[in-house]
Amino acid sequence: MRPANDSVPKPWGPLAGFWSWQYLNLWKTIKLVTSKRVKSFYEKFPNVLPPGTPFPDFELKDIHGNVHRMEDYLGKKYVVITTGAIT
Amino acid sequence: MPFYEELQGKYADRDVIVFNLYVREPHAGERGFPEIRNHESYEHKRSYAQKLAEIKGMETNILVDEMDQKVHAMLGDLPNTIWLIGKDGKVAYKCTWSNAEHVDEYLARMVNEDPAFEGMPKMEQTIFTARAGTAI
Repeated sequence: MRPANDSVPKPWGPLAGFWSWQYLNLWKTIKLVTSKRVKSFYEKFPNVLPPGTPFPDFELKDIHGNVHRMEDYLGKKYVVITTGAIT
Repeated sequence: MPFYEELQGKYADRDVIVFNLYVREPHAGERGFPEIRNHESYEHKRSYAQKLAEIKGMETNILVDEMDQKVHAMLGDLPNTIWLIGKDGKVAYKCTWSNAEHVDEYLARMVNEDPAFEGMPKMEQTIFTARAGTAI
């Protein structure tokens, strides 16, 4: 269920549990989730940086322009990274 | 995304830092986002990330990937993956999509250095949920 502070209003009624269909393009979503390309990414995922391997260093800016490097947190922080869009 | 806000707040005093890696815009022009377009430049992408973060009141660190999605490609190029990385810099757990209960439980066991963490599966293909209820 989408939270109250989200930018897309939560639909009312029994469709509330299927909120994503209210704001996504249904056909685009179906094509995406059934594509061989996406399937191949899921198949490869277990072999991508398997647990126990060092996480590669990166250098990226945040939305405020501050630079973050993985090495800045070594020995100091547990790091959680999630990927995706904000929409 | 609010789940990650919750995680950041919950573990703020436990040496945990949460990053959202903003990648491509998958929902450009779709029903709920008619004004959103595909990114045209890095600055365009960064401005979208900033605008969306403001709309959603996000406080977590939002990293903006390069236009070539270099870091995202390194992480498997899938949407909504989550990675837990230990202080030693090694991948401790990863999953596709985000099962909030699992991620929260794993993170709690990791920061508490619970021996049970070692025996738990370290890679999962899950479905999306968004509640972090594990006591720490």
